[in-house]
Amino acid sequence: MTRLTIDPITRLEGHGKIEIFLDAQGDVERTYFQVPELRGFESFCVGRPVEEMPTLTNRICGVCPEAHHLAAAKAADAVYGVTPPRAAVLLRELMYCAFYVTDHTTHFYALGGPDVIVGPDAPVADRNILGVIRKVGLEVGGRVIETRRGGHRVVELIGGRRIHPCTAVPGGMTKGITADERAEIEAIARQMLDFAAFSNELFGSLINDGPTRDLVLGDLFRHETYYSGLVDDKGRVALYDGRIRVVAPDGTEHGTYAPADYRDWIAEHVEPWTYLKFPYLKKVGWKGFVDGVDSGVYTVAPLGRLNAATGMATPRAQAEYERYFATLAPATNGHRQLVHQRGAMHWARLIEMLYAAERMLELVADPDITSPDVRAVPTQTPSEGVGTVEAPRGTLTHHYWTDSNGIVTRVNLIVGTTNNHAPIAMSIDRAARGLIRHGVVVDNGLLDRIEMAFRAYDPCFGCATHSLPGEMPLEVVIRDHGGETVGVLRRGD
Amino acid sequence: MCSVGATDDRPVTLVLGLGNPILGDDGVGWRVAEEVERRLITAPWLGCLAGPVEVDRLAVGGLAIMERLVGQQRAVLIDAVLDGRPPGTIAVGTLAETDSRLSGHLDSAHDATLNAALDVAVRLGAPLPDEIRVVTVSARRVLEFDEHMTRPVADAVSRAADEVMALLGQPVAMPA
Repeated sequence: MTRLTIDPITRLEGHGKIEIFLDAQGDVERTYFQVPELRGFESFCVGRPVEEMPTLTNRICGVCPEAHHLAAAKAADAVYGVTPPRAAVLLRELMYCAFYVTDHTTHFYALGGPDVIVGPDAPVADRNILGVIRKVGLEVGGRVIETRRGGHRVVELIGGRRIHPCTAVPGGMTKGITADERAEIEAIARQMLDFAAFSNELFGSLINDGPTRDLVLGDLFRHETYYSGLVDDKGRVALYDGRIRVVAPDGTEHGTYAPADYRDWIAEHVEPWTYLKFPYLKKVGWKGFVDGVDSGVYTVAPLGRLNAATGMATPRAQAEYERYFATLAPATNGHRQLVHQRGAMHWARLIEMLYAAERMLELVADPDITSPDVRAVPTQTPSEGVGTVEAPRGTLTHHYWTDSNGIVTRVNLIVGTTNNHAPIAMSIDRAARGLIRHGVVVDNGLLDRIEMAFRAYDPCFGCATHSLPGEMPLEVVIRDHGGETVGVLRRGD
Repeated sequence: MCSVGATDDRPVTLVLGLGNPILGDDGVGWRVAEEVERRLITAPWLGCLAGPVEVDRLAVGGLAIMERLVGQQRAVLIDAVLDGRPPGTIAVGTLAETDSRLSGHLDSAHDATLNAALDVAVRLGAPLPDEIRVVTVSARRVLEFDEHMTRPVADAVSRAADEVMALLGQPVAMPA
């Protein structure tokens, strides 16, 4: 057997890697995707007051502190059995939507999106934000920066700090916003909505380009899995709160459940070759890294959310949602079809960006948004609680247990990307199988496609690992069946 | 965040501690920044400065760091590195010399490297510091949640702060 090892070269060289084992015929036998685990977060939390968790957990990594902050605050609400006032809920969701626009903007223009915008066949050196600027113009680069600045400003106004918000506490928020701040946020939201609409139009123009169309629509990254995401009371995509809806690969509903019941629905499979677990649907069961209705593998994040929901709750996002499904998965015989192509994740992300911007305008126009009634002081004896939000990279669940004094005794987290761990591993395997035949096509084209399979999910293992590289420079080590290195490929060689 | 001599019209230097303060040695950038801040509020140090100083700490990646640097005249970044050298080893250099070895917070799967982010800022015409210096501390344990650093890294904090203070005493190297 020949083994190929793809190592991201980072300061953590050797920790995150992809290994491809070839059989005697030179075809892919098995692909392993390994990432390291940050250890000890649960024990790090034990012994601390639960009200510290919203500010402590948002330090897990610097990518989605807002998601951890709010999931923790919701879990702490539940621990104390307290319901925040309406104004507090509005403020939390408003801050969260601003974060969403910012985060999705970053991914589309600076990270995974350049594969689509610049084109999958463009040199890797061009598939980054600099290549995007060259392709679509300097003005767009300026709007990316402006959108990020606006998002940070909203987080600062509501969350108290630009990066790591600190105002969500058990029972609500520590502060409200003034009328002037409301007006400033509204202006930012309008700019964000304009840019989100532009981004969707841009994607619509790109999808007609051959290589990009192949990337989005092609079968190279297609998996028919279950899908899962938060929905509102009408089954539409929800980001801050709701129930979790799960659909089967054929679009039928598998079930809908309250986030606090997640342990009845989700179990975690363990493989000996990686620290990270593989969540799966408990009622379907773990059947391995395989597609289909009999496999409990499910997909979250934008692709999962749009498939799991029945629509979007704002008009322009709903229109784009309908165009997305009509283009990628037209209904057959009146039955709704799901989008299984992983490359569609980029488009789904932009539809969510549009929704989040529209939702900001709805929230900021609510008369209660400037209400000073933002905190219900907890009075019940604390015990146990679950808080769930849809992080950009998937459903994020915080589960805390405390003693009667509110001191944390146990913590369980299921972070966004971890939900997608199995699908990511399957997509990498699919890319390798599609590009290695009889031992050939072992070159940078292979690396590019594997990177694209990886990046479409917008993975962030910051909650479970220290880092993986943004530019993902790769090295392929080819070893024979005895483990000896017989060749090394590096990007640019 | 603190500012010293902010009313001065000489170029401001931003001292930026990077890393995750609850991830063991990865928090050394924060600790050095805190030590620098502590020294700066001690009056005798003020006479040693080449200009006003602002101190901040961030646990974010390249794009957000770039955004923090926009508008600054000079910056000193402090971060942990895993470079195979003995834990606690201190190095002072330019960003170009050290970026590939800087903290994962400059280079996550959901971010750009700091150098790439700075390239974007340059193309957009954003005003960046005339000079960016980097002080690194070789780390050992960065994969385990802990508010405490390993002994050799903790012992390096004061020495790394010495290096930062020395940089703060040097005039800004203006571009030719």
